[in-house]
Amino acid sequence: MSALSCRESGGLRTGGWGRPGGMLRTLWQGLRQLTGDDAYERYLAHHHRHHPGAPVECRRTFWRREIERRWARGAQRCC
Amino acid sequence: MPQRLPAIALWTAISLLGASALGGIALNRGESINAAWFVVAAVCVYLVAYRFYGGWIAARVLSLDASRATPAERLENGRDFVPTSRWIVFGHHFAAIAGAGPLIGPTLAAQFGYLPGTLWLLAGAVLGGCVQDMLVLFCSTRRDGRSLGQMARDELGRAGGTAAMLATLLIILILIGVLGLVVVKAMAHSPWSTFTVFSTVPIALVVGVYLRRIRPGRVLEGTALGVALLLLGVLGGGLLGSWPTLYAAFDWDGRALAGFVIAYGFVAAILPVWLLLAPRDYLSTFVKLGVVLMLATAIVLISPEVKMPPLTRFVDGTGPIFSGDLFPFLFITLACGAISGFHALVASGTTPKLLARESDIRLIGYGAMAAESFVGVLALVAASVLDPGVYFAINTAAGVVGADPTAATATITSWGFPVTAAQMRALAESVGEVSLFGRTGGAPSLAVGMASIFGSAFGHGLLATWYHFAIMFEAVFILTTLDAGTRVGRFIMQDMLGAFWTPLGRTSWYPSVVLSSLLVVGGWGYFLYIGVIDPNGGINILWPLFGIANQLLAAIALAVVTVILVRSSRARYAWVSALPLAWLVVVTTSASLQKLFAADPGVGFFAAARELTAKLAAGALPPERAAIAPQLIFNQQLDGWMTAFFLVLVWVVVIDTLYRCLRREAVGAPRSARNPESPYVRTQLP
Repeated sequence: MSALSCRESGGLRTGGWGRPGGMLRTLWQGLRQLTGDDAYERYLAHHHRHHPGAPVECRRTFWRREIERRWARGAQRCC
Repeated sequence: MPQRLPAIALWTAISLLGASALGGIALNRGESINAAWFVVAAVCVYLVAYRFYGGWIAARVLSLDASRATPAERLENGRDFVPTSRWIVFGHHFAAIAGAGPLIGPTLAAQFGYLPGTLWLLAGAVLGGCVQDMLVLFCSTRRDGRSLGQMARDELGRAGGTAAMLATLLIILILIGVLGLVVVKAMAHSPWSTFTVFSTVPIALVVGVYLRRIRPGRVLEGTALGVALLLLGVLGGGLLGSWPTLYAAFDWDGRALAGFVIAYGFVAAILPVWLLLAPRDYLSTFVKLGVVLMLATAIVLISPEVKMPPLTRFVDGTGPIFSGDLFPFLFITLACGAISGFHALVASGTTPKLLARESDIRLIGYGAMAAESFVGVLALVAASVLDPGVYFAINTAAGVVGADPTAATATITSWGFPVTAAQMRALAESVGEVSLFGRTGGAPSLAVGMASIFGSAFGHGLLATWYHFAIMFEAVFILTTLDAGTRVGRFIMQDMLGAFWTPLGRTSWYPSVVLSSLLVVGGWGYFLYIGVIDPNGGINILWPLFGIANQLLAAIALAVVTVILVRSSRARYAWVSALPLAWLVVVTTSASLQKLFAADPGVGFFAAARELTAKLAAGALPPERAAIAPQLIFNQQLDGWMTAFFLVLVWVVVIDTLYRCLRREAVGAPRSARNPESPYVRTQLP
């Protein structure tokens, strides 16, 4: 397996905590990641990394599959 | 050593602060106490436990190794297996484990006073629940994310595996039944609540279509739209009063609402997931995290006075909300928030596939459970800031204190908790409800508590809106659990049916989908129906059954990890899971035995059936009670047999565990030959 950088492997991309703008950007990225809002961008990054040149799914097709994959067997939602 | 001094000083200060806050809560007599002390005591206990006990388990018991590649890294596929930042995994995990349980359980347990519940939430979590979640997460991570059922089969053999599968299915059925009851009780004869809860269905559909057709995958946009619509739904319900016909159209009794909920559950289970379940889950997660943060902020901001006494007279077992002595029924009632077996299902399977580093197991396993326990403490505070008289008037069924407001308030006052019919009328009016008497299930009293806290923090004029906002908040994620849980139950059911006739096991074969969905919905629907027709409010029969089932699942999870610890050269630390396991076995066994054999009809299922049979034969029941009596008798007996079955399952697992641990001692086999941990691979992550 090739070396994965934290960025590609889904680590939280920090915009630098020092500056207020950077902090907001980090929070925004965290929120997007937590809700799955950035799932398509992550798919693209993963795809380009591991299957360069192969055809890429469009956003719509990707999301059809993604939602099916995540919920088709229900979801563990606790008491 | 000198450079460690600041850390030593800091942790000494946190320990002392926590100890004095806890001491203040425990020893307080006669004076009212500020809710801020609960927050301080709880946070300090979690911090100290996380730093020292959690840290010790991570370092010594499990020897967590940050250099070991996790399944997420080794098997990365960009979909299930994705190394993810620890705080994001924490958020996902917390959102999956925290549901209605830690809100309802502590609300009910407040009938004993605030002290037993608070102490058990803290002790149970840091010594039991957090440990369970962390160990299960560890075991599953070392096994490429295997589920609890698979690990039980691997470690305990066929009997243990079957017990885990049956316990999972039954707990899902009872859980959904009792949560359905909570929603139905909150909506009964409350058009505003009913409108608000009903409106969440079309809102989820709109968000589903938005995320599929209009802006595919723009989750945050869809969620923002949905949350705005949910708030409009809350406000819209308040305007219903201006249109009498519309108002009457949303005025239903419990039975009709139970019918709606059951029909909804079936339709939701066979609809495509993108249309209803996925958008509902997005909304529910967002609302849940948001409201929990809001509640914590509001309690810290306004520091309300706690009015509940530390102990009430009901520790003697005569409680009006649920009967039974403090031991074992406090520990059955307060399952979620202290030790919850359900978490083992989340901690095995989904979460291990996201961990970027093995060392994150402490934060996510131990830390997220501490956070859930904190939610339980907040719920207990919300119940305890109400006047105790008001709390009991809301939560005690008409079957216990009578339907007449004057008589009911007189009875509750005679218990030592003064309340008047006029006070209850004024309160109901201020929150926009027709009546707050006998609104069992925990949701209405939690909503009144939350509304009074939010009202003081963010504006008192909106009490009625806050109340229905709280009802909406509870209903949104209860209905998500209902929808998601029905699907999980369906797959277990299809798995089991497939053993009899292979086509039924095919998960995409439509007749099998419909049949198994019907069976699962029928299962929980029956429990919901039992609860709705029960004159004592349903909670007294269903919640203990749910608690026993949940603790049974926790016992199975702890048994599995104990066997793994013993087999993997960690035997001398096996007490870490074996002690909570022993405690759970004692609690579930004694609670089950009491539920089976107690002579008090409030406690024993069979005693209740016998009493009712005798009354029916003697003609001592009023006609409307006599009409449903045969059904109530059958239900009590059914619940009794369910309890007996749980008891047998617990002991099958215990004997199996003992046998496997002792045999290991005798043979000296180093670890399970069939399922060793995945081999060590060095991480490539920076």
